[in-house]
Amino acid sequence: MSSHAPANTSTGISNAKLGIWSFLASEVMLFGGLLSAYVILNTGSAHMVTPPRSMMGVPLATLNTFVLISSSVAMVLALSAIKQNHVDRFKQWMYCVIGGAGIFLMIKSYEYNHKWHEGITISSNLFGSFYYTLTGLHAIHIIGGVCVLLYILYEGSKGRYGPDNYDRVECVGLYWHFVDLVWVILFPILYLL
Amino acid sequence: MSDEHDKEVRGYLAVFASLIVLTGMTVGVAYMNLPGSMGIIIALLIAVTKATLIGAFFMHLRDEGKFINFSLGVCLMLVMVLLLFVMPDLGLMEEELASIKEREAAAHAHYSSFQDHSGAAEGGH
Repeated sequence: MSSHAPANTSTGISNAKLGIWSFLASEVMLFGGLLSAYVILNTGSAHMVTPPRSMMGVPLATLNTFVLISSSVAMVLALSAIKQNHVDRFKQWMYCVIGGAGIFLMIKSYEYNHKWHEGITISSNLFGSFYYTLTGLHAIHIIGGVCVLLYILYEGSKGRYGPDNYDRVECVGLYWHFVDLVWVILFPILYLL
Repeated sequence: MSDEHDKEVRGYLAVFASLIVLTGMTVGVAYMNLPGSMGIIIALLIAVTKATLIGAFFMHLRDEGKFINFSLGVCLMLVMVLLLFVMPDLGLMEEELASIKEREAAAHAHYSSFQDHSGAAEGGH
């Protein structure tokens, strides 16, 4: 079935697309609930003591934002390449996406190690609990995304995707952009406010 | 087809450049230490703009039909309920805390003046 033709369903949307959007809607509520709880407690709780900005490692977090945005652009270019049936270009962009995710996770693990030694731990205070819960949940999403991206890269390398069959690439792309979008919101809220 | 593709790629790169500029602005605004909650409001507005750009262009939400956009709209509205409907309660809590603190301060002043008075009387004896 062509990916851009209206699907033969009651909604006119393919099952794969409807499935990924429903999943992303549930993810909005998952991150939305945690983020709103953090913002509310940050505004109204005396127990929420945020560390000074110098302890938060803003330059590294900014670099991570740049890496994740670049990875998201690479993903959209990989989708664009497969729509044009450029398998080699698709593979190159997919390597960039996965490489970006790897760099993000490496920087994050360095950051965790650094913060832990500075006394910001998951049980140190309310901020520490929220920081590790929110960024940890996001990192788990990145790890899960990398597994699916590797599978898509493998399938794409075998020539299983093309201009008439790119639903899976589009769906994993939507997930990847959502992960980027969550980081774009997390970055100012956790590091700069 | 190729021209259309090139145009699409140029659009993605323009969005990428905008996202990088907006990230720089977020960090810049945070270090400007603006008065009151101005810094927070600007940082959140920039974050929402970035999220909108990612959603509209990278996730192709502007090309999607009403069904998906409406479903996401409902989700975002529910997140706003979680966030904004608790805010007035926080305001009430602040007022309540302030009135408790005022009463405590008045009681403290009253008792300390009483203690001073009785201390002076004891000193007089």
